[in-house]
Amino acid sequence: MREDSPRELEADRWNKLILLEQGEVGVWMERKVRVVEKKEKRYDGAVLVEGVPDPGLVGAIAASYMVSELQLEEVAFLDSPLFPPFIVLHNSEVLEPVRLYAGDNILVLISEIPIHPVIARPVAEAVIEWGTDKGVEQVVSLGGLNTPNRIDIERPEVYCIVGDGVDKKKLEKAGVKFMSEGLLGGVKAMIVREAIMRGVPTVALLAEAFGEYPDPGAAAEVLKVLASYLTIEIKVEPLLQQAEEMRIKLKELMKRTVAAMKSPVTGASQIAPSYFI
Amino acid sequence: MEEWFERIRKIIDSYFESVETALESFFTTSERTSGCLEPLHKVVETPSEVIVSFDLPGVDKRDISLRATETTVELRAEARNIVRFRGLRGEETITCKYYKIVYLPARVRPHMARAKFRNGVLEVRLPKKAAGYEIEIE
Repeated sequence: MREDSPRELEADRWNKLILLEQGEVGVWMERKVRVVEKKEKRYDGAVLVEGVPDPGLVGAIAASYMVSELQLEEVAFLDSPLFPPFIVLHNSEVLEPVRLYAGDNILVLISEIPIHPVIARPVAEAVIEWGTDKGVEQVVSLGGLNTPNRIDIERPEVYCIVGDGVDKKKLEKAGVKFMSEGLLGGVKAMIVREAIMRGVPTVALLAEAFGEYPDPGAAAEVLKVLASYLTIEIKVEPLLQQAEEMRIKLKELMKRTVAAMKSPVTGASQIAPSYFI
Repeated sequence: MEEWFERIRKIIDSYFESVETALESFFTTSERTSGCLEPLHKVVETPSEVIVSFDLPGVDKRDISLRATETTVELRAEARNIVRFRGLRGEETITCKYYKIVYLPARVRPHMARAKFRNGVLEVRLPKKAAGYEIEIE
C-alpha cells in the first residue's frame, strides 16, 4: 500500500472537515470569527500590532516579547469554530490560544497556534473590524521573509509594505527597505489587505529570516525598527540572551506552522505566492 | 452507511491527533523518553546538489558529529546546557542531545560534501553523484 505523505494527509483532513461542516451546518466559510472582550473598552488612537506565527516565527517571537517586556494586559481573545480544539495552560491558568493584549496606546495580537491559510480571511476580517470599531488608528504587522541564504547574513534587513497615510520618512529613518514587487500570502497578507481596505494606515515590517527555523535574531531587528517607528522603548538584549532556549522551545510550533503554510488546501499551492507572511 | 461511519471515525481520529500534538507542545513523547531531540531540518535539492540544514540551538561546533553515505546524512550533537521548561507536570528539564538521520532524495558523493555552522545552524552541501551528462543535439 502506498504511504501518504504528511502533506497529503493534512490536505485530506481539512477537506474532510470542510465536507462535514458543509453537510451539517451550511456554508463552512461563512462561519465567522469573533473577538470576545474581557471588559468592554475603547482604544481610541491605539496602534494594533499583529504577530501570529509566520516564517521563522519572527512576528510571533517579537509580539510575545512585547507583551512581556511592556507588561501588557490580556484584554480579549479570538473565538471561532474554525480553530483547532485547543486551550493553553499557563501558570495553572486556562487561556485561549489566540489573544489580544493592551497597554498604553497599543494592542498586540498573539497566537499559540498557526492560523491555517484556509481561515486567514475570516480571522483578518474579525480582527480589523473589531479594531477599527474600537478606534484603532494604525495597524502594524510583524513577520519574517523566508530568505534562503539567511545563514550567511549576520544582521537581517527589515523590509516593509505600506498603505496610505503612513509616515514613510519615519520608516526610512528607522532603516527599513521598501518592498516594491512581490506576491504575498497567508494571514498577515489578509490583515494588511483588510486594514488597507478599511482605510487604516498599515505597515508590515518583515525581516529576512530562516523560513523554517525560529529566528529570534530576525525578531530583534523587527523590534528595533518598530520601537524607532512608534517612538517607544523596547530593549532587545534580553531577547537575544534567551534566543537559544527560545529556539528549542518553539520547535514544535515552528513545525506545525510550516505544515500549515505548506498545506495545499484552497488551491493555494497552484498559485503559490512568493512569500507566506 | 458504513462508509459514512468510517469517514466520521477518521475525522474524530484526526481531531485526537491534533490534540495530542498540542499536548506535546515543547517536545514529542519519544523525545521525552529517549532524551534525544529531533532537530528541525530541511532538505533542498538543486540540479547539482542536495543541501541539508539543521537547526541546532545551544550547540558548539566541536560537539557535532556528522556522517554521510551516498543516500543518508546522520547527525549527532550535544548542547552546552540542559533546558528547563514548565511542562504539563510542572518544572521539567531535558538534556539537549540531538539525533537525526536524513534520507536524501538523490545519490550523492559523500566524500565531496562541505559543511558550515553559523549561529547554531548547520548547512551541509552534498554534490549529486550523477549531475547529468551533456547530450549533443543533432
